Amino acid sequence: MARTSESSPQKGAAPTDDIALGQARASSAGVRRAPWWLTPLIGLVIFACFAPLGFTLGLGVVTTLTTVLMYTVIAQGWNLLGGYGGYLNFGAAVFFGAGAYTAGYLNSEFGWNVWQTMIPAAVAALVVSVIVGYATLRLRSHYFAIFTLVLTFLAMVVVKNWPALGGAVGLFVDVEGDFNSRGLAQYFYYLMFGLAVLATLVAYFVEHSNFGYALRAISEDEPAAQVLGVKTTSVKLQALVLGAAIGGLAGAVYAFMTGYIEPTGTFSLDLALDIVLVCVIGGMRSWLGPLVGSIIVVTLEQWLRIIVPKLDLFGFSIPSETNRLVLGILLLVFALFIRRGVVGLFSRRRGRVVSV
Amino acid sequence: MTFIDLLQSLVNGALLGGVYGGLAVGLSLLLGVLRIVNLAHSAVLMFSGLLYWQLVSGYGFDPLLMIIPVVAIAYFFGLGVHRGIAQYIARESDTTVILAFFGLMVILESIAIMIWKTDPRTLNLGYLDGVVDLGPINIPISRIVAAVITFAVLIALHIFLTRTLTGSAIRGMAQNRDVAEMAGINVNKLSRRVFAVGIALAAFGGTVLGLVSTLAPQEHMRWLAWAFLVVILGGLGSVMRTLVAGVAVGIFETVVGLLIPFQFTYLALYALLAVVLLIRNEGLGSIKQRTL
Repeated sequence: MARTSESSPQKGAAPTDDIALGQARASSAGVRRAPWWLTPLIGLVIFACFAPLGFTLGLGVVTTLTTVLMYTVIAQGWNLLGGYGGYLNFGAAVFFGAGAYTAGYLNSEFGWNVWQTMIPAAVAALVVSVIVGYATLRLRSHYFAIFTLVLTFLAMVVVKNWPALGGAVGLFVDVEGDFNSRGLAQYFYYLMFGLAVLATLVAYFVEHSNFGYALRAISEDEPAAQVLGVKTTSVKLQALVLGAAIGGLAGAVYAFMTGYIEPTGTFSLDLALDIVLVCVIGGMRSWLGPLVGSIIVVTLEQWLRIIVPKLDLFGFSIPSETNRLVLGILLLVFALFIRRGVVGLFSRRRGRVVSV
Repeated sequence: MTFIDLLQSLVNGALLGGVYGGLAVGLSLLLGVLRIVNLAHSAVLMFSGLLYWQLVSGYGFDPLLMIIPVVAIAYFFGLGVHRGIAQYIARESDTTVILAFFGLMVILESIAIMIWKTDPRTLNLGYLDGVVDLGPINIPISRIVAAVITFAVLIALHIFLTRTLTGSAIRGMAQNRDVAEMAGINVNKLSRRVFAVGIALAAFGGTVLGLVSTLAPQEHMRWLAWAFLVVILGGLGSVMRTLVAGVAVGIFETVVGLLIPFQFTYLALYALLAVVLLIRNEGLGSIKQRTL
């Protein structure tokens, strides 16, 4: 995929030089054209815009924005292995659900509040992810993808037949303290806001660490990374576990936010689809991607949810599955044509891609 | 559990397992020859199963004859998908391929739910409805028919792949695409046909599944799990091994179903899947030995 460079920074390579090295230099010079502080600045601006919104906007919008932040949290966790490592995980709902159910169980059995359940929820998600990762991460990436896709269904079957977790009926989760509905919405908004900042920071530091470079090396060429001394299996497992723990935290808050969790809704494929879509639309190779992507995806979904039932197509009402159909088409389009996502469109890669 | 129960479940499992082989062979073919992970496999399967249901139970056509148009439609659908999607991403990374087919899966699933809603559907079998009494054990006719058709199709596919020139070309392409192209095989054309056959085989799996089981569009993931288990167990080696693996899974399922409550058979199967994944450490080295 040699792309001709726009300003042709080829003169760095004298004929006697190593040609590949010269090309690499030219390419990296092209990449660095956007100033380094641009993406952190955009991230900061987005979070700064989000910060006061919990007080200023109406109840419905705050709830929607809480969903945006929740998707940001889960997607940042997902992106560690899925985006940087290239190991697509369609079982995001499993880790999220493990966290949600741990929190729900601890609340309904022992009356723990949301702060007390967060750590156990993260630990539960972590344990599940270690079991899953240990069995599958030594395999090639497509086996991992299929296995995690199947795993969501398995988790649903397990929880449905587990009486302590409420079975098919589900669990009710109570929030302590006397909040009015607006105060409650604000409480969870800022809780998710904090988690989103935390998850984004984790993603930022992973991206700029050796760990992040190892993950990207795995996604580019796994055997080569292994030869160069990257402990691929352990790096992948660490990324999965870290991402799952973040997802578990989001799950715990979600359980308290909705007040009621049941297996079919918690372990539906919709969450996995949404998270994959968030990262793909936003951009899978950047910590900014999930942030931008979740804003786009949630806005789009809300818009479809409001607009689609109002449409009247020659007397036929449009079924609600149109929602998912549109998302599926969008995923296909992004996978085929816009692989670097919205973020990738702006930080366009200049120069040529060097393959040696 | 008596001996008769065991015998009954062995026979049931073997017949069901034949159908499972049919479920998996399309996935195995695409993975083995084209290295395409068809995540939409089970969605195609469910979609064509429901189309089959529509033709047979909805319009009252003959259940055996209607397999042919469903498979033919799926073949042309496969040609279209290859032209529109698969040929552009055949050389891309696994990630892109998986994402694209995940998108396709979501599209097919939502269309199926729009058309057929989420109710489980059972095929109106007509003259295939009935039970054969073989002394103490009895077997539904539909199950025998489904297994026999699947066995016939898989054996025909096996003979096609091993005994004909086109079959050799396909196996050559599975081993090394570039060298196959140098040897004068029109790789792009052949890939398109193999892809379409893979989709058609998925549709065939859907029709035979419709003969033995109820179909619900939102539960297709379960069959992806089954097909995946059979593929992993049998490896990408040959069609016959896929068939044997299918029978093994079928027998395992029915025998385990005798021992533990119904809803936990899933768990036992997934545990089997995890164990197989752990033992068959299909790491990076296995790419080289792929033959079909």
